[in-house]
Amino acid sequence: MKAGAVAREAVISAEEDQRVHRELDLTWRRRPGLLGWLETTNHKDIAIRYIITAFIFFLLAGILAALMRIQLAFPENHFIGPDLYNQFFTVHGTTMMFLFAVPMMEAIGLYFVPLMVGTRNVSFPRLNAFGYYVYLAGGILLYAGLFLNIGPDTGWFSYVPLAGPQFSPGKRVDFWAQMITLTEIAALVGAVEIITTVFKQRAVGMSLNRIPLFVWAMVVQSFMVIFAMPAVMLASSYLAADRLAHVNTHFFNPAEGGDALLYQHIFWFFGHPEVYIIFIPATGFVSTIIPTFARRKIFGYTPLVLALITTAFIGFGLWVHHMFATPVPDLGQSFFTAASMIIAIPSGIQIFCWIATLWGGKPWLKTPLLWVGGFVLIFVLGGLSGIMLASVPIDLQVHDTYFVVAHFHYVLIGGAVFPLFGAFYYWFPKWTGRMLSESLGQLNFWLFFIGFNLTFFPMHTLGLHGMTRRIYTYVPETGWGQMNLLASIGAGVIGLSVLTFITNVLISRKRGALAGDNPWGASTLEWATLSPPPSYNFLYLPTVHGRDALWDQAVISPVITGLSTEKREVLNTTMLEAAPDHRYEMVGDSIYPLLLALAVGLTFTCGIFNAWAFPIGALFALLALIPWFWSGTETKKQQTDKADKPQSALDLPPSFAPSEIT
Amino acid sequence: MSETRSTIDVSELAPSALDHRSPIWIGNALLLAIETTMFAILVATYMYFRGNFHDWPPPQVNYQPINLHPSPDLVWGFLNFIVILGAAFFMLLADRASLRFDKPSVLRWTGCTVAFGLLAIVLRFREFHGTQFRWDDNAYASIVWAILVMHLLHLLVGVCEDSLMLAYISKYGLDDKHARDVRVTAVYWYWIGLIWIPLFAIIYFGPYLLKMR
Repeated sequence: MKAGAVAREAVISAEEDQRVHRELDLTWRRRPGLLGWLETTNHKDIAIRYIITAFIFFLLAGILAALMRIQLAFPENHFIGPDLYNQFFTVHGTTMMFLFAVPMMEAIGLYFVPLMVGTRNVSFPRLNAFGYYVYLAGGILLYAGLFLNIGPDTGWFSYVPLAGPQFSPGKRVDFWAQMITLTEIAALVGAVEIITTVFKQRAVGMSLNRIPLFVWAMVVQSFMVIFAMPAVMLASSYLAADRLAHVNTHFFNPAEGGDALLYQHIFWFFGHPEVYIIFIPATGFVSTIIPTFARRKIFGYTPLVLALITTAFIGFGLWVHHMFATPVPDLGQSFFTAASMIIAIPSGIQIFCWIATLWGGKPWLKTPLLWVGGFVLIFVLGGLSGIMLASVPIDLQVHDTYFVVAHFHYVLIGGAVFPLFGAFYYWFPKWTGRMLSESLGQLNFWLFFIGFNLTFFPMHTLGLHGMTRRIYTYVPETGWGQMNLLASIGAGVIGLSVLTFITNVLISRKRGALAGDNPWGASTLEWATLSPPPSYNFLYLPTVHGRDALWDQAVISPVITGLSTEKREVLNTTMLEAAPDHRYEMVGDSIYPLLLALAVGLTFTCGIFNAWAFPIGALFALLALIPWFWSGTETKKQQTDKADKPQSALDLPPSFAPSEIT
Repeated sequence: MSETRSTIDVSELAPSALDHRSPIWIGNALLLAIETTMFAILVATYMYFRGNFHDWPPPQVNYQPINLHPSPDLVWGFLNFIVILGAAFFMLLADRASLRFDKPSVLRWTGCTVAFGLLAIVLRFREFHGTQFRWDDNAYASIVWAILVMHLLHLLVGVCEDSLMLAYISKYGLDDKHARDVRVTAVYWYWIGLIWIPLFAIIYFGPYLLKMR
């Protein structure tokens, strides 16, 4: 241990606990009122906002999907016309990928990574707040376009030349392009937060080989974000520059040496890792839920971590398999086919480790585990059609058909949404202090499982029968009517399932059974504090003695003392061993992240119409940045507020007995 | 209810770290990883476009006088190359000075970086002129301008950051937090200089090395 960190036996009285609690709460909680709400930099406040916002976008995109299914339920239907249909599928896909899946996964990481590594906040609290606001700006921008009936209509990947200035005049595609920039800034911010928090702020004793698997998954995902997102930001910025009047670059204009295929390369260099950016956190949920409900430690911790890292590396070498229908050289086709098949190996390792864990345990079939079961089944099916698509001859036949639609919904909904619902049921008690209803949970699961398969399984056959993606209607002679009707009925069942979930949340939030600190008897540190956690997370920062922090405490582990309770101070530990290293004072709440996000959001929105928005917007951004950096760890206002405030913070609830604070 | 508990008292640990052990250093390094990825894709774009032209850079046959090899102006490019590396070098001196908490030297060398940074920004506009193309002439021009503009943005950010720090330190003095910030900003400037070495080579020597297909 580093000189300066002193191990002691200390007598800590209950009164002392109360005093520490009061001081920490005054230091860490946000100011009351609307301004305090807007200024907050607490990772839990921001993550919950992210989760709720991303869920609302999930609902909006789901409504669009339902409208499309109504249109396709019967041949030659006239429910929505071709133009609106184009906007709907574009906004549906874009929302699900950029506004729901990635932000949702990062949000759950931003909530639980600091708790799981045993610290009080993410490393850069203000940046985190900025990330959320700029994401919100991106989402509003996309839906503003749709509600004005000028939503993007060129598909979620906006291929040129269709999306270029020649074939998509007007501003539709620009809404898409600038939304990408805003949401990807947010994704990158989240990634930097998560990596730094894990590298520098882990609990003493949480060496690399003891990091919880969910945290590993978030670190690996964050690294993927860092190397993948710049590609899509460049692709969409090239596109916007090509389209913008008076800029008119020629990146994708073949007449001037530009190249349409370049767009596909850059887009998919992001787009394929994106799949794993969504999937890897979901495997983190699964690796967290399974040991808790199998009542045993995870089987194969090391292979699971290595599988995550391998997936991340191989994930960057597959992108051309989205382009098999373009003139790719033979050698390239073989290379990317091989890579696409190899990536099944780490996924297989994970699946076998999970099965082995369940096999050797005593599974406790609660709702979270049910969702995990659904995940394994559906994801494996999606993986099988993936192996088929990895082969070039099959891919050429079914390219752009409903077979592909079926495949990626099996992989993405199976691989990400099923574990996500499992995670909601698993962590809801930590968020709210109350359990979700089990019976409604079972109903939620079975409706979703049945509805999902009803919707997407027939699409395999439809695709093989030649039904192409993105058509707004078809003639009766094709014979596709019955299976499309079946799929539309399935979509209705999914809708019922989601309504069941919302009902469950609304009822349980107020009337669910009280959860207590650790209702599932789980092993990770987020369960070592109150539900919901106090503003400062842990009364004394914990230390850990094993991979399963709460299961491996034969004796009560030492706690960290000596950090300031009057400043927002946390402990930084070393990167590998997580030995105590130095103290780190965090900045206080601030309104400037919101103002900067506003400046950035307006800049890119106005940048849709005029290039001068960028230099002018940069000046406004600078105006927000200067006070952001200039204001120190505490603003004057916060200091006076604190001085004025009577020392009447809430008392510690009785369940917070010192013996549980480990 | 009192209880004896094992504790680890960390009150004697340093209140901050000046080097890669501090979170902001890691955060900055990750930011630079993001930016490096972006430049890598810009370079890939440049190379990709090379395959679409017979001659590189594309000859200006529609202009008078006809220019068969309109390569960027090496003189101004090279001059700015030296200025940019100079700005990074002064930041190295500021970095060293901040380790000694030598406030006057930190102010002096950071000031030199700001001055050289501003000069580099002015010269960058001369470089735009020296490309002999407008960004909307063809794909070659678009990517060359894009690389120059993206690097310019980092110069601007570096100068703004340094100016703000200069103002703060001269007003409030050099505490350990701001010494750390000087060091992190120095890393940013090293990166601005280092990344410009390959980018400069590609933009200015590419037209000669990749001239023939």
